[in-house]
Amino acid sequence: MADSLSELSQLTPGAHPLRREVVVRHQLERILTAVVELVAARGYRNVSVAAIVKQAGTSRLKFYENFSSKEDCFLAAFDAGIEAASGRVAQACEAAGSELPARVGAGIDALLGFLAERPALARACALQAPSLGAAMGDRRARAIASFAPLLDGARESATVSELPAGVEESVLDGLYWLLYDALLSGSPEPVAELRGALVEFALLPFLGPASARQAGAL
Amino acid sequence: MSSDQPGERPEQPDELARLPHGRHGLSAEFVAHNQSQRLLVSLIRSVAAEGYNATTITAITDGAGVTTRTFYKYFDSVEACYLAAFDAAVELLGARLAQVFGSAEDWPLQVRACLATALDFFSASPDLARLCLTEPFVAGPAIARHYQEQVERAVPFLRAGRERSADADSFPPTTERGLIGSIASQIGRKVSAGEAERLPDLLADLVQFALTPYLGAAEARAVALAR
Repeated sequence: MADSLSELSQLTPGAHPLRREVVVRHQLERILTAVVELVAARGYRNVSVAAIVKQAGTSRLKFYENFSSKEDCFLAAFDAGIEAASGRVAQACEAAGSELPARVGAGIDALLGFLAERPALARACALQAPSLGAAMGDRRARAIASFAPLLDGARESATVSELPAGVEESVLDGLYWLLYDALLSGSPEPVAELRGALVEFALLPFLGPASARQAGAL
Repeated sequence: MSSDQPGERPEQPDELARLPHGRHGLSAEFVAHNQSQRLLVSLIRSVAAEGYNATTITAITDGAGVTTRTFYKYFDSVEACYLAAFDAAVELLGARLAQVFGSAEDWPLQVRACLATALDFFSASPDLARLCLTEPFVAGPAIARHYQEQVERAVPFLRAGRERSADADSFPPTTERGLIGSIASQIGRKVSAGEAERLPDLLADLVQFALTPYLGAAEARAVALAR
């Protein structure tokens, strides 16, 4: 999104025969970027449609062509952000192969890398989105569940026997707790320390404390 | 709205005694006859019924039968009133947990008894469950942080389990924070889904999840399923 924005800003209006759908897509992306930046900086409750429109350099008309409300707009940005983050994690896990510590390490690295690149998105989605209350529906739970590929195959690779059913979901909940806490404290810094904690916690139920600790220290 | 005099509305002990309903003795501790506690009860009722976002000062004062000026005598914002109610609920639960913790001798049974107590506490009062477990995040990062700190007070109790493990010295430092956080999240999700009354159903799974890293799966399961 950031890339396409900088690309767009280099265009001189009128100098390029942009096709209509390209313009529309850029407008949409500008609005989504604007809502995320504003919500991260000011808090969800303190952001208005007027401010989003101004920051995005678009018009109210264009805003309402795409979204019915501030809430609708923010939820679209939230969904897009979670999809991008979980996609990045799944891809990194796949690329790392089937060995569990390597897979989990790659997935956590990808997640922390994504959050470091997009700090406003991280703050908006983790810290501000819950302010919407009931309007969030089950998005928080679905968002956490979308990172399930991180633990694909973990049960099969486990050295701990008789794992409880649903341990994967419980582990994702715990990972989110640790990550959320780091975001509350400012940013996911220091990343190295957080990385170790997340890798260790993800592996602990499957490999036991000693192996988990060893993998986290790598 | 009525004038700012003490006893602006006749006390309504019967009505208030029903709130928050349940068997954990809140009526005695919460429903003392004074304005600030009426305000807390009104806030709890509003947050449970409408959510934090809809809980305005007007909603709270209307429910408590006091004026806005009275509200500001005790609290300077909805957030402050919310925090007071939250802390009162945490204190009640904390007292209950301290009692239960001492009643079991063996650490795994202590963990189980404490989890059972927390689940019973919140299932007996879905209003407090929502107040304490789902709305802190809605109320914003400062309150969410306070919530997490309260939840993590349980960390040292769980950490005591490391002594039971052959790998006692190799536990990752954040093990207990992750375990406790996961448990709190799982309970919160059930409350979010409107299933607070069914929280005790989670007991066996949560006990097993909490104990497995320390005792191994087989022993953890035995404790979880013990009658």
